[in-house]
Amino acid sequence: MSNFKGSKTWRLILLFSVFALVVVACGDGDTADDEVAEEATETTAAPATTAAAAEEEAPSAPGGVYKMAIFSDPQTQNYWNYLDTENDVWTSYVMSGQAVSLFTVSVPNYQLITSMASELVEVNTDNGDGTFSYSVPVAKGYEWSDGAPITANDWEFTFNTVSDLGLAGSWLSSWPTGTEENQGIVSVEATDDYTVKITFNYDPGLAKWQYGAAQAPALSKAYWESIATDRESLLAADASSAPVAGAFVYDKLEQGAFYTWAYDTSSMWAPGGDVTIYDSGGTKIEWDNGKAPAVNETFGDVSGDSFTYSNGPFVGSVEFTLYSDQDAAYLAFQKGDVDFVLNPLGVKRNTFNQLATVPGVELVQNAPNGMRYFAFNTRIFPGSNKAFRQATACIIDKDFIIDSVLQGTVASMDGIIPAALGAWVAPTTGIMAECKELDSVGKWEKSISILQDGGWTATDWGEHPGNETRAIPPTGIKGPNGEAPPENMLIYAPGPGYDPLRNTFSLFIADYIRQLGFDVTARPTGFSVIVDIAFDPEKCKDWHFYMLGWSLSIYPDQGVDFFHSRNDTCEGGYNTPGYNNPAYDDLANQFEGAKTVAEAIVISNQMEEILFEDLPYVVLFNPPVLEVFRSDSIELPFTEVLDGLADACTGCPGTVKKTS
Amino acid sequence: MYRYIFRRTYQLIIVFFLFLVTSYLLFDAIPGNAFQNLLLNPDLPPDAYEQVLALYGLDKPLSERVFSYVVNFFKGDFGYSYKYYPKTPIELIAERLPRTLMLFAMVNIISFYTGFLIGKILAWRRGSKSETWITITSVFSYTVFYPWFALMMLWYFGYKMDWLPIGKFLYPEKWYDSPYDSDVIFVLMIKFTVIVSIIQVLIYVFTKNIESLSLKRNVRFIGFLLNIVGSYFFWNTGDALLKKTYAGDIAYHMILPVLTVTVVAFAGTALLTRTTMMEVLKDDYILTARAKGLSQRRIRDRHAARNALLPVVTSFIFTIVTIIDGSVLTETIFSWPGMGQLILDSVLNEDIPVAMATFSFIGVFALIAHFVADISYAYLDPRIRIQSQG
Amino acid sequence: MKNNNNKIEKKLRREAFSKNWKLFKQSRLGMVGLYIVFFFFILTILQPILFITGFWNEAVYHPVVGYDDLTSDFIVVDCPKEYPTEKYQSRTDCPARNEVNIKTLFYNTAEVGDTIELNLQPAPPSRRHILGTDSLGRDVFSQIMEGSQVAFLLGILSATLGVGISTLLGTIAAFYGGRIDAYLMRQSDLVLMLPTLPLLFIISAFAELKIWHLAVVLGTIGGLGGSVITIKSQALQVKVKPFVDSARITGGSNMKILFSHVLPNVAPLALLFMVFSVTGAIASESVLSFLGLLNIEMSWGLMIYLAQVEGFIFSGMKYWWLILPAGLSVTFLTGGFYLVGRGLDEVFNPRLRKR
Repeated sequence: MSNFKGSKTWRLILLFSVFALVVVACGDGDTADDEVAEEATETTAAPATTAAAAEEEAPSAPGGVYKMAIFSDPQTQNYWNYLDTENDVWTSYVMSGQAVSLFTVSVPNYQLITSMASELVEVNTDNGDGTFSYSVPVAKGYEWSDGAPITANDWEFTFNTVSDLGLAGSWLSSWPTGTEENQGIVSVEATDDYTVKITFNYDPGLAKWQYGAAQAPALSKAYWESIATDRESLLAADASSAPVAGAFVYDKLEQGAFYTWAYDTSSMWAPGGDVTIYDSGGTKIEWDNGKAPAVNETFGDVSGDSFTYSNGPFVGSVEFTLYSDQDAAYLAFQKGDVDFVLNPLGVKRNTFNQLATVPGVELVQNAPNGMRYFAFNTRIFPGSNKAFRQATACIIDKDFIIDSVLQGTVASMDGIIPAALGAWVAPTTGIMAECKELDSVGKWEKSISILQDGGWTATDWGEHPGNETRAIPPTGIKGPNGEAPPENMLIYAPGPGYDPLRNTFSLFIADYIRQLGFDVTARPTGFSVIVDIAFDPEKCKDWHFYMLGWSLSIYPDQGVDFFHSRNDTCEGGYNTPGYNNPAYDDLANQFEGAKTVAEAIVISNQMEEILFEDLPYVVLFNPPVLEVFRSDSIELPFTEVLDGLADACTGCPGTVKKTS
Repeated sequence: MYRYIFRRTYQLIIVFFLFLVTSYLLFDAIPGNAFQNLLLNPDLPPDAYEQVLALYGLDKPLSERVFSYVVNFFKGDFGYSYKYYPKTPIELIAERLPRTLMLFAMVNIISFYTGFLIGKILAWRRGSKSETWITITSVFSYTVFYPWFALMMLWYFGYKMDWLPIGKFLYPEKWYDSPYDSDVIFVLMIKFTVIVSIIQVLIYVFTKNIESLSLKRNVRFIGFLLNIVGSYFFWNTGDALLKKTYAGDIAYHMILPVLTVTVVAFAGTALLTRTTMMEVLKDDYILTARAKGLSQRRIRDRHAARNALLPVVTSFIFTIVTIIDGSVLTETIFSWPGMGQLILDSVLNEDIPVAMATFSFIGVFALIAHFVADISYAYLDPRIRIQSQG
Repeated sequence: MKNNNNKIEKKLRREAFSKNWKLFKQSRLGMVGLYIVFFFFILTILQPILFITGFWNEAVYHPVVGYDDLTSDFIVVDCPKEYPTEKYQSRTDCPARNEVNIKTLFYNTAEVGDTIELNLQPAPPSRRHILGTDSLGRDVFSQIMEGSQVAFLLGILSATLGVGISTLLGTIAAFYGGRIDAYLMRQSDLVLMLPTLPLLFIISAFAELKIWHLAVVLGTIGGLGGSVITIKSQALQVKVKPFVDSARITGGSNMKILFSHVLPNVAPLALLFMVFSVTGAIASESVLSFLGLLNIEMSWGLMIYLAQVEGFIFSGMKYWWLILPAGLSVTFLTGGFYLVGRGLDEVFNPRLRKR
């Protein structure tokens, strides 16, 4: 055995020398790199200082790197390609400001404000031939980063490119082309360099004008005109040097690793000015950096308390680092490698609790703009029976599940509009309100009496022995026309792997409906399978119940999309329950035509009142968006915002300040 | 023999054809399609979805799509990625492949070598207590629940100890001013690794016949040193000098994934070596060698180990085929966007052109490996040769 | 005469078995593996026993829908920004035991200083729940036992199926050769060409995979793939042995030769494959569950997946009972089967035995 000793030593030496070499190589690398890094900061800092000296009103020179983590590689850097066909949230995060719009909304209050328009045009002119036009003045003095002025021609060019080249996907929601069958935009023309005239073939309401076409993107005609010859070459064009209307331009793009934006020192979007947000919902904008046209305007109700944040940017560059594993991203965050994690869904609850104990980490909790729901198929029995839907909605004890099993981690929700939208939210009425006050026995008894009143019969109606236990369900239950409900009806719900919350909910809901004497089972199903079942026109009569969620847009027009009978899924729309109520359709049409928010809110509340009675959906709950940021290295202008910081302002690179 | 090879080639083409059709049908069987998200956006006009399907030819009947895909495939046209349009699958593979190759070439070399060394020692120390415990430990490191283990490694070395970076293949701040793309550096590193390995193998081959064990070891060690010195000069001259810092950064990021996969992978080789070597040790000529009074070490290294190498090397060739397959989890956990992630993404997003291209890429490799193995078995083993011809 | 033959055969078989058992017992590896497998087998049958005897209440201990209402009183505090303070040394001390940081409360209107009743899930191990509970209040030990049932069911079912298929096809290919052989070998090539993990992703996407289905899928993929080739080459070696030729000469039919001579000689290798494929099946299930691709109610992989989804995986050792038991169970049971395989290898392969 002693023979082996020699060979071991040799091996050790070999291993050690390899190791030493690696260390030497890395050590070399590190020192050389430090030098490079220092030089780099100097070069970026120097021109900025000169700029600040020249423009005395510039408060501070942007510097430092704002680091954010993303979870998936952006698909493209080209804005045309980004909106075409398949656009994911990661692509949108990293996309530079290649597009402008007439109006926009201010964050965090989502007040409609002007962007490139110099006036908030909300009234159209009726051309008398069934078309309606908006003439919007474009502010003078704005330039793309390549020096070309931003003019009305850019809007005309963008619309024509979209329709002429047949761009698809989200371009069609931004710039829907009006045809004889489709409502949409007939033309966009520049009546002069600074007036754009947008003509619709119908009279659009808030959703289609203020929150639609007026916020649709327009790109630089001067730069893109020669490239936009056909769809493929336009989408394939390299956009790393495309002009932007913002302070940041693309810098280093390392596919699969990281992406950076650099502050463009010649940009007219230099720091200077303030945004004031009022509690009453209004916004005041006072921008003057000496380069861009000065703005001093107020929008909405500017009364009461307010807070002000300054207009940036205050950072020299923005870095998006790719972590394909979410946990790894939060681990890196915990270590301080990144300042913020761009995660549209927010951080997981326990990671959140745990990060609470890490020094230098600030926690943010925001209401989401979305809902999770349980849908009936109102086309087939028993979902077609209103008493059945009401009884089901009544017996589902949301509050019990949320408080005890889910430990209050989600907010209970009754209507289709999230609580955070304040004035829009309708008070809960009808069956939902009545059942809310009852205990589990009361809920069961109420549900049974709803069924009895609705003409249902049973050989034995069962009984509820008291709290804590299940009811003894009715037997031989039959519908008003004597038809027996089908056996083994399935609730398609996401499995525990996709969403543990909805999975838990579905198990409980199935049990509640069984207590009413129906044979219902929760079936954990893959997300794409549920979508396939619920949204396929050909399968619109093949299911009884399913559970999914919606994330919603800022302008709450979901009542039209989800329940207007013309949107029935059998015909390719989003009304999956097949809900059909002429009175509701009338209201929905009025809602679409509404020109002011106040008017829209009144109609929306009336629509919800009908829904609380008819219940095509049982709206269930809404999990909060939890986020974290490094308060020891960055300072955010605000943290309270609907949907969270990632969705509202992409981590606010334009207004964030680097503190260390 | 030639007839056999000819027939085998012809079968190979049929198998590949079947493979293409099968894969396409499998992808098509996944519910929904790559553009299903458009269905979930109520702001879109109802015909937007159909319009996109028509644009990408997904509205055609399945048989027509399969047919045109296969025809185009043999013409060398793989279509466009649905997700990364207008990139082609080939562009995507060209971007991802070097990263995977570099990482897993390293892993395989290291785990194969350590596995072989440990297996050799295990077989020789057969029956001892230490052998049992090392074997049991290796078995558990072989069967450890891999994703869990990788996450724990990441947590321990990346966060708790803070020795190594948490995933990724570079530190962005080091690359801000880099004139090179990471792919350029990866390709250089792969070339370097391949050349160094070839030199190392050549040294091994040329010293094989040196009789004296100590002389042989010394010559090999000097060769190894020369290789190191050569590498040192390589990285400190000319073009490579400029790229050194970047290559160093990538190498530093490779340590944790390589370590993690090696801990899991070495045991496979070790256990195989142990078994085959134990078989060889029972062979007659080893007994003869013992009877001749040759030293233990000599028998182990010269007689037993060399013969045990053959099946181990064969299995090694086969594992190369499964590299890309097995890289799915590693690449996701260590944020190393290579082929594994490309496959996973394309399958989950139903990006059929990319998924088909990556599947075919692996398929071609597997097919060639089997083909070569088959031919050489047939050549080496007369029994099989006769059978196959008959 | 026939009766006598049978008796001899039985006696021979018994002798062979006890001889093999003796050999197996000599293999330390095999025995360690056997103990591990036996331990998990006990866990598997223990759970139903606990439920049937009423020792465990199903409403509380059921691995999927059980729920234990464990609550405790907490004082709401607002953690200060600067440390140290009088009460806390550093940031990690706040909140202390029985305190809760107001920032982490959800939809709770409590004020700082209030005492509120909160759920204690995930609860640490206690006498009531020896491995604690998960975040939905379910007993972890019960889940481990359920996971063990799943693992045994899946592993043994898929291994039996897979090895059955590959032994049959492998021997047929070796024995008949020609076109059948070529067909079967190309079929294996085709299966081997499909990358396993992505293939399983695809299958899990379009088929609703329950444990039974998964077992069949894994078994079929395993059975049609590389093991056919190995079994075939083993069978080829048997086929050219003299006793097969003599059987042929004495007029044995193909079928008889196949079943009485070739199959028994391939069986040890098949058994070996079977033990190893149990390992593979359990590992595959865990990985798929871990990626959230299976729609099954409980398994070890799913336990780890849930711990990860809920953000416990990087909590270090603070929530160890959510991570370690499941992770170690997968590792040890697969390792146990692997060791048994190694032990069997030494029994069937005389050249591996001790000197």
